Amino acid sequence: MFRHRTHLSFFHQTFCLLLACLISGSALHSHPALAAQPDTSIKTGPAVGDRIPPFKAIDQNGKTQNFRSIQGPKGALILFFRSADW
Amino acid sequence: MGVGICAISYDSRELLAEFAQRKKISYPLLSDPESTIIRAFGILNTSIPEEDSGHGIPHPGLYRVDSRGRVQSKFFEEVYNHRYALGTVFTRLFGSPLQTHETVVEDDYLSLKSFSTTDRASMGNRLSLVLDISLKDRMHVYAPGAQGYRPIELKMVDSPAFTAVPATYPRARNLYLPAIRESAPVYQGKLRLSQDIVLIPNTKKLEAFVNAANELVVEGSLSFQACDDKICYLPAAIPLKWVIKIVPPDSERVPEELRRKK
Repeated sequence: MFRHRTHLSFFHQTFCLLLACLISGSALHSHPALAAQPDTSIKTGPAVGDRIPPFKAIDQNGKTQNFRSIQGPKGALILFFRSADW
Repeated sequence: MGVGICAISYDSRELLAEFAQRKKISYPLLSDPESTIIRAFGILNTSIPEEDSGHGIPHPGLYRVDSRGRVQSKFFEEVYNHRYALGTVFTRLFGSPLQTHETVVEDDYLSLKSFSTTDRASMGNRLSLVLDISLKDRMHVYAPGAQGYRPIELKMVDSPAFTAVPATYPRARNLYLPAIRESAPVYQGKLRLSQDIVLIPNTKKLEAFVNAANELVVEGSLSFQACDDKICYLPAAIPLKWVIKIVPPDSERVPEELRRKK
């Protein structure tokens, strides 16, 4: 017979838990315009291997950020979400 | 891990500040109120009329970018109310799950560890159900496409609660079998199988399939035929089960005065 056991594997990085708010939380709600006209012809921007366009914007603390200020030694995760208030 | 992170939306700085404080988010949330960055990336959602407050939003998605600014991988869903669950993205990018439960099964031919890339999910979430399999010494199993043999197969029990995406199997190697003078695609050693499911994007309908503890039980099985260099053993099937806690999506909004107006 098979032997089963269950346990927890522990990870890891605080930012991942926080990122969950944006990926699976507020950003998922429906919106009247989308409900009426669901757009399934998704545009996904730069292809794998392409360089992303330069960008500059202020963050929630009023600090100006760009790719250089965001990235770590191994690059960056750049998330686009619909809105924090949806 | 050495990877920076930011999240970009068309929200005002003030709205993002309130959201970040409420959710205790410390990494940068970038304000792109004119959707300048969103347009530069070419991901503006053009299906929303200009007079609508939703005009200017992007198609939501995630890029993994290397230190030279080149896209290494990206995650976008084709349907507007589907989302990759965080753990799914994390497992795809870094190989390890996020604090999820693991079930370990041992039998005579293999051991396997199964987990979901997330233990908690909401409507529309895309999860990966993963099997990390380790075959015993000298054992092999047949890969999909093997003719005349029973290949390994991860099969889900159908449920209206989710849509199953075809399972992914790793590349097999061709093994020469001297006893029958044939080659066949097989797996030996360690392999990972992955099965994505997308929960239906409707909370009320999804709730009809959860138990009293608000858990969705997803069932499946792994069937295979194991062989060593002398014997092929009887086909076997291992029952599999994943338990996903279903949580409501976050519906809390920012104060009225911070909301986007048109």
